[in-house]
Amino acid sequence: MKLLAVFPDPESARPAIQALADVEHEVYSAEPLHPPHVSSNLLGATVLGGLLGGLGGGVLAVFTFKTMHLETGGMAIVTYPPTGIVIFAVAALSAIGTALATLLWEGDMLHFRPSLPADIRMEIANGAVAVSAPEESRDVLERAGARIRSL
Amino acid sequence: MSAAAPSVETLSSSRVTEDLLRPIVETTWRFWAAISVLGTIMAWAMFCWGYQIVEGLGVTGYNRTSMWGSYETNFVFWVGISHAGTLISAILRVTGASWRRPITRAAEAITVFALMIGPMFVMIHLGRVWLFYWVIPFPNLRDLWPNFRSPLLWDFTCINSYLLGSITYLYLPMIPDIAAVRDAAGTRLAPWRRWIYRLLAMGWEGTPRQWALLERAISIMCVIIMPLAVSVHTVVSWVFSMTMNPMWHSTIFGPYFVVGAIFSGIAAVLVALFVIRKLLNLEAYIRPEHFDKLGLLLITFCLLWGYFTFAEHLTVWYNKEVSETAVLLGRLSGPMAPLFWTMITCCLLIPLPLLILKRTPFGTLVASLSVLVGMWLERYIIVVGTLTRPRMQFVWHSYTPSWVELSIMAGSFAYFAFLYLMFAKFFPIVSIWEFKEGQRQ
Repeated sequence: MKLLAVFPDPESARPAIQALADVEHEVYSAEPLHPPHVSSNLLGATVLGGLLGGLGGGVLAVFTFKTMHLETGGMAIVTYPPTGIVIFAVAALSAIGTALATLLWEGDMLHFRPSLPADIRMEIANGAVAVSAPEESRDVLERAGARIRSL
Repeated sequence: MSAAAPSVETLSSSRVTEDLLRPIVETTWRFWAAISVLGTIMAWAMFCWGYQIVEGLGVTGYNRTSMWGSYETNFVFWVGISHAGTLISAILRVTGASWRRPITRAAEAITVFALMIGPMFVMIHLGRVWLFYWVIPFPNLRDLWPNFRSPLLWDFTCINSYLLGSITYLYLPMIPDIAAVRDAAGTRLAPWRRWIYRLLAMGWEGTPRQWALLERAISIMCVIIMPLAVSVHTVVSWVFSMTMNPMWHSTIFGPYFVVGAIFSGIAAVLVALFVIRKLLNLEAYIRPEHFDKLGLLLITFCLLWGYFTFAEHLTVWYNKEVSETAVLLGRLSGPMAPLFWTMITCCLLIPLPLLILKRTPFGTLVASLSVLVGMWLERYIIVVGTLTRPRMQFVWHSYTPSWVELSIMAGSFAYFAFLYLMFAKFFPIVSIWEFKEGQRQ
């Protein structure tokens, strides 16, 4: 069984969170407390998204040039400056889209049902910090002054 | 700041949440009054646009040489305003300016709404607006020619990327605050609004992993959005400078337009901050120091803009090329002179002394309004000044916007204010979590 400990503010929650370092737990807060080092593919995915987007933009421009049979008076069918602008804009847009999608995926945000009860969520929005931890952490949490309830 | 405004340190977490969610849960008579006034202006503008669609572009002041006029002026002006938020916010985030926290969202929202309005003028000018999708570049079998060599098409690409990027950039830092609205104000809201907030908050719960990922994503977005913002107004300037028209064909038009865009953008942010601070009683959050620091930025761009304007006109005056000089004289002492000197007064002579002496909220408001008027005139002078004096003198013409154009322009300002007001009504206009984070630091 899991416990849900509610602290009135981030300062009072901090010692308990540190004490739970070796125990599997989860923290819920309305402001960033101590962003840990999180391994993530966000940067790599964004770069990859940008490259693929740029490639797509280039293909769109070149394909259009080739298929429209433009009369160019002997000049090159594919002109580089406009193609570069299209590549840049589509690459940026694709990178942005990929960053958003990766954030939602890696942050486990692709659902619309919060796991915490509504009254706890309201307290968190008003500054409280909630910590979910296993039953054996009860002593640590009580000593830290948390209000505890079972999940 | 009013004397009653408490200091940042004394505001409790729950008080901050309550204060910043109040405009969302409470609707005052002032809100309905503002909506009514803005709605009336928008309805009139819609009627005028309908009239133009039925009667054709003949109801405007456009003529054979001035095939561009107020609609293009407004297009360039609004795209310029859009540089306010995203660019300023991204620069301040990247440089770690902690004072930015209460103002970034108000600025980012300006970008999104200005970018929605600017390109609208291109559609208004099309005449047959229902065929607007013909400007979209894609290979097709209808013998339409998506001309990738046209700067107008580059505009389409860059502006759309910037708009979608700016919406994402506005949305990302808003996710925790939308979750706060969902959780703290949920029971006080109508079911349909609760449903929207639940949808927009996604599965946000504020775990350390989510916070870390969010902050990383915002940092990445800042880096991507800055060159995109610069590219947008550079491309807008190329619509003019890639042509051979006098006083358009200039190598410095790109940076000149970007500087002018940021200049007018900062002014727009200051006006918006002043209004929402008063209307939503946010004196404790948007403080005199924000006006002071943004005022300093405005001085910087005021001087930069003045330098570019001087450089642009000096080179034209010095080389004495006949058609360029004709346009220049049209500005300095010809038909455009009253507008040109008003522009110089509004962009330099009024704001500089006001901002250098003391940057109070009211002083920066006056300076910013003056800059906005001046920058609109600058766009008008660039567009109309050249087209009324083309290279062949026998087709010199004059141009005056008609009542239809002026009405639609008024409608665009009302539409912008309407969108901004609705945004402030549905979302916290000051970032709650960033403000609290700043308090702790």
